[in-house]
Amino acid sequence: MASLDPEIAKTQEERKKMEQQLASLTSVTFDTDLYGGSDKDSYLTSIPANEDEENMDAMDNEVARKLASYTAPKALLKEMPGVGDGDADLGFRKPQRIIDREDDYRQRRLNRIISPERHDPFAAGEKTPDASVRTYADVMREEALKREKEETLRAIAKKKKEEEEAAKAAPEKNKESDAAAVPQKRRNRWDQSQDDGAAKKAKTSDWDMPDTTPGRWDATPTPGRMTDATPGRRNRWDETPTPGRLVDSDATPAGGATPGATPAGMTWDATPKLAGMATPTPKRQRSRWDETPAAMGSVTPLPGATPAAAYTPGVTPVGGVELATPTPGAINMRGAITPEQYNLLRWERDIEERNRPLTDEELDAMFPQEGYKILEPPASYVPIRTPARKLLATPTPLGTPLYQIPEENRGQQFDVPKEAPGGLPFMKPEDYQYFGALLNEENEEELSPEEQKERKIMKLLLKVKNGTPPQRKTALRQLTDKAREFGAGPLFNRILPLLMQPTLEDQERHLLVKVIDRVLYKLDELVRPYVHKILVVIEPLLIDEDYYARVEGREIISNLSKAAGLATMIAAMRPDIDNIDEYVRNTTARAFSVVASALGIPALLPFLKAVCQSKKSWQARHTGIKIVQQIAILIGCAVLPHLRSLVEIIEHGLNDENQKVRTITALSLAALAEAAAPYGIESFDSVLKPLWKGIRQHRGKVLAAFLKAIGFIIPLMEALYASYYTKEVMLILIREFQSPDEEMKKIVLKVVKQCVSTEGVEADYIRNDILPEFFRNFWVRRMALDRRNYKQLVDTTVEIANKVGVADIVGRIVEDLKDESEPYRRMVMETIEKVVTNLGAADIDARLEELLIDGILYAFQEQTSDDANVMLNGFGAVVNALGQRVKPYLPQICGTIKWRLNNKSAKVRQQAADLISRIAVVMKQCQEEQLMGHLGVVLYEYLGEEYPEVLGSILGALKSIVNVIGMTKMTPPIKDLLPRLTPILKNRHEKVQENCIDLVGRIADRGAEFVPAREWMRICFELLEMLKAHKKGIRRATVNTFGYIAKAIGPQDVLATLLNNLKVQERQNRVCTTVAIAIVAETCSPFTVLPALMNEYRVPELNVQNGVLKSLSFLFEYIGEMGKDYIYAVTPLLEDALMDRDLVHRQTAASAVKHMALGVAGLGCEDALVHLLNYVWPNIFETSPHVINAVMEAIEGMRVALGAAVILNYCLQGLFHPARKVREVYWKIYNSLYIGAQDALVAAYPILEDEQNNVYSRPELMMFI
Amino acid sequence: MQASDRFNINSQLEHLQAKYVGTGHADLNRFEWAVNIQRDSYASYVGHYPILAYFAIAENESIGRERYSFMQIEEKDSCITSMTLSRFCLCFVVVLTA
Repeated sequence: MASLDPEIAKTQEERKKMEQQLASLTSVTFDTDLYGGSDKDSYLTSIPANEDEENMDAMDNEVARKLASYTAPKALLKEMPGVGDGDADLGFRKPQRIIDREDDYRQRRLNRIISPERHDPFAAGEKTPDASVRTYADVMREEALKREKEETLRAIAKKKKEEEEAAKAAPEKNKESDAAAVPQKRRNRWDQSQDDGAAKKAKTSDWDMPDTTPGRWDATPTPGRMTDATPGRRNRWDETPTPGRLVDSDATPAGGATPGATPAGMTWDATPKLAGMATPTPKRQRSRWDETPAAMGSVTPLPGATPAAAYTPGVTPVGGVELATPTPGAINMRGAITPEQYNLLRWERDIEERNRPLTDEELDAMFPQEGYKILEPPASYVPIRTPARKLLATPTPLGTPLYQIPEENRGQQFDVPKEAPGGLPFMKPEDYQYFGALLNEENEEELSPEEQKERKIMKLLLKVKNGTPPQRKTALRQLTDKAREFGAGPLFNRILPLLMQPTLEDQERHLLVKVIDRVLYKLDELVRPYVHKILVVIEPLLIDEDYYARVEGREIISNLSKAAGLATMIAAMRPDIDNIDEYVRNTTARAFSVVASALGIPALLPFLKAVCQSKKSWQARHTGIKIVQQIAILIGCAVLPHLRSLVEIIEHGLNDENQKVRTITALSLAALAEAAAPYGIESFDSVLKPLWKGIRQHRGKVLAAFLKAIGFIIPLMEALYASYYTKEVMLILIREFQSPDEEMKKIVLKVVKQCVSTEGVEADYIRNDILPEFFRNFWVRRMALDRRNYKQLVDTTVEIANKVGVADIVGRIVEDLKDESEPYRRMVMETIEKVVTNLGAADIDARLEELLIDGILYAFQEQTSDDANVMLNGFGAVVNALGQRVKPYLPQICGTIKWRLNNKSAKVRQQAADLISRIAVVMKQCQEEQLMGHLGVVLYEYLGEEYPEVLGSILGALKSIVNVIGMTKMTPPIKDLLPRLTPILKNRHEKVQENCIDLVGRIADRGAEFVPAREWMRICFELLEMLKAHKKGIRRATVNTFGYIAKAIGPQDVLATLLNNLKVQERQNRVCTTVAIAIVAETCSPFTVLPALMNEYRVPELNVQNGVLKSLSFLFEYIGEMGKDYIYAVTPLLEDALMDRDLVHRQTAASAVKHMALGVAGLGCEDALVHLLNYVWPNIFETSPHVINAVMEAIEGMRVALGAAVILNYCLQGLFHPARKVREVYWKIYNSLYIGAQDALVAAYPILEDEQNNVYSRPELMMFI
Repeated sequence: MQASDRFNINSQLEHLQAKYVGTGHADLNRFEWAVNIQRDSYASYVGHYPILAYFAIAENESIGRERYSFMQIEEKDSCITSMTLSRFCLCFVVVLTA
């Protein structure tokens, strides 16, 4: 481009000036990193035409910086054969069942009952609700009853326990149980929260999790919820998770009547069953047993089964809706069993319930009172408790055991699922329970309209759940469209039980949730009676570990609250707020926070205020405050407008009588402060005093929570106050440094970090008051063993270092680099790395420097673990920070490297090679070129490496050495090195390929003359193969290398190779070849390439011709203004292509025309361009998206080159064409013309004649002086 | 629009175009188009000072007067005004919903 003629230079000059003006006008500045310095790159500011994401790749920027001169269109380099870089395996992932990844706590969702629908006061108006409908009052009453029962049970159990304690005279009796009970108790305090937290630490700390239980009693199940109910001695260890065991304990029949017979249970009949009773026999018809409410099927009231549970109250509560007494110890086993087993268990329990032995009362009722005598069972009789086992027992032969030819049953279905009629999708065994009815080939006409409707819903749901994507799509649409017709009741009664199915998979849940979402939208206020039902099913999504599930859950609840309104939402959720089950309260709090964000915080404030001040139960206050916490977490800085009122609502909780409430209040304050940071300190004024008083009074967990709150509030303060308060809190913190409690440790570290990073805290204070204790207590080996402690400690230390400087911190820990514990050494190394990277090494004096290098070398050499990156990074960071000061140590370092390059372990060799690439720059700074040359030779000798990972690293090391010392000084000389690299290019490993091509490209760029042309040609052939690489970086490097090579040895030979490559079948390969041709043309001037290229167009082969056109398109894109000399030469070729029958010809030619037009705009080639426009224009009616897109862009290009007026004149003929299809296309062109050059059109609009009183003419334009 | 068209670039293009006031569509009539042309023209005159100066010399008026009268032209034509208003609202809706 050096030989631009002055005219072009002038135009460029002008254009640049115009652009600057424009830029200053519109203040749009281009990111020079993104678009490169040259203006031809700025053409890329179009709407993305295909599905590649633009500029998403960070690599682009990097390379654009490095190789500003060579650019290939990003779209092409991004293009991939087949599916693409990362997602290939996505389609083959095994479907995941939700239950498999859930922990105990999350599985408690299965215990919840889909509550029956409730009364909707809005719909009913003034009417008194029917007695059969559940109203808000009913629900509240039930809740109160439940709570009362809970209290009573607790009292009974307490009494029993006391009695037992008293009876515990014999010590050996309880030795074992004591041992079991102690860990159990502990677990409830910290450990439990830790378990849960680990799973969901991404969003919240583990603090807001379930541990609201004061003792084990809080875990007591509500009726209908099978939590671990057994008080006292039984713990999870007692419950071996064998099905048989469970069955044994369950098998004792209940003393009372069969639950199903209780009249109070009637309201439940409408309730769909809880999931999980899937029967493996497909033939089973729905019997009346299936109508039994789930709670009965699954939670059979079975008191007194195990002796340990003897004092579980044996009375089935009379008349209560939930008849189930807690089943002892069913729940803890769930974690251990698979869903199938779980299903089996449920099923078995179900069967047992039906087949259980008749009780005396029942027998009395059945038989006449007289004429029968009750016999004593024989002494040796032991009843078999599990009928299922009976089935397995050897059958007693009846009569003579002779062989009989079994009668063949042709109708039998050998476990082959019945073909679903009517093109329904395949049913899984679990689905029979829900969709079994669809298999009955009943005559549709005979069914009642209700049943028909139900059937229809089932069909659609089955299609959504199991169908193919098109089936799913239509079914979903039908469900949505007909939602109001089906009605909310039938729909939700079908959908919600499916969601409770224990074997549900992620994908299925996603689909069903989607159904709910769509249906909600349609049903609007009709959903009101079902709000609670839906919440029961959706709330568990809010604590799912999958981020997308959480988002989905939030979306549904937010839509639900918009559809149902605040009043209904509150009415539905209020009873759950003081539910006895912590799980329910937790999920309800989260759901409430979503409602708050959907309907606005102010709407919810009065309610929250009332709840937080509830006198009735601490649970309500706890949940209310937790809602505030969740709101803060959910909506972040959007709490700011309401910060004061939120703080006011919860502040009294700091002095609450209940310790859990105090804890959660402190945590909520922490969440609020975190969300509000760095603003809003004034809102926290009122809580400062109680907080600071609190940290003096409390101990343990409450203290930790208070400290956490303070830690988040201090950063909001002004420097002066922050410093004061830090000093206040530091006393407590330093005292707590010694706390053995892990959770406390983490919080203390976090608070120290927060305090230290605030402005007002001076370095001296930290150095004198904090550091000694801090290092004494925390920098111990034990801290390195736990991942989270480790991270927190490193972060805090780095933060402290930011205040007190490098020397202090590094000086204290440098000795530990030689510690005998490797994890500890690693922690030290990571800290040093971060500190040194942040602050540099200027503070480090000579003595410390010596210690440091010594320690690092020791740690580097002694490492054994696989996670080697920490050491490598640390080494690199320290060496780079020290710079020239490393010189004296370099021989020693290189010695180590050389020794390790020869190591037996591949990892060690790889790491050594990687280290060379890290320190190469510093070695150059130290003028150790001879040493580097030596290393180069060593590396060269290791090029025969077998392990591709290692080979890749070795090539990378060579590359960094070549980069630093240059081509001429390189040892081994380039002419020896390159032939050695040629065969390595054949290696298919990505890391090897990438490093190798980078190295080759670098040599071709800087030192091509050291290598004979023949060798370069050989490399060219190898490079063709690399165009197929999967990794974009490799393809890009390859294409660029073609350019360098062509520059070095002249284009002819390279071009011949490339043109031949156009004939290959693979599209990917051809595309890359065309890019390479264009790049060769750019580097070696177009005239060297064009003749051969155009000659190639004569080959009567589609691929070749298209390749030529594509090359032309890229070529004109790259050469920009230079194109003006070649436009006349290629016009005949383009004419031909634009008239070709083949669509792709026209498409590619159109894009070539676009680039050409844009390049030569303002250079006086209008005649040729108008000529080409005449060929382009007829293509405007194309329908193929790619073609029409290319054509539209070509027209846009022409607008730039020819002016808007010309295009407008082409347009005018069709704007008011009688055919709509024609008008549509023309208006589309007009519109883009209008948007592109609105002002320029003013002069070119046609003259319209006036109509009556409308003046259309624009007389001003006729004025002439 | 065909089903296949719905998701490709062309629909985006039309959507994008619809966001601008003054773009047209297949059902635009002569009157509406003319209104757009008028508005664009006067806006252009007012925006380019040299043109205003030229008109001022030709009409023997001050430049300020010219500018003022151009800006008032829309107001005069009540019919056009009402049309324009409704178009404006429509465009706003389009922009807001986009």
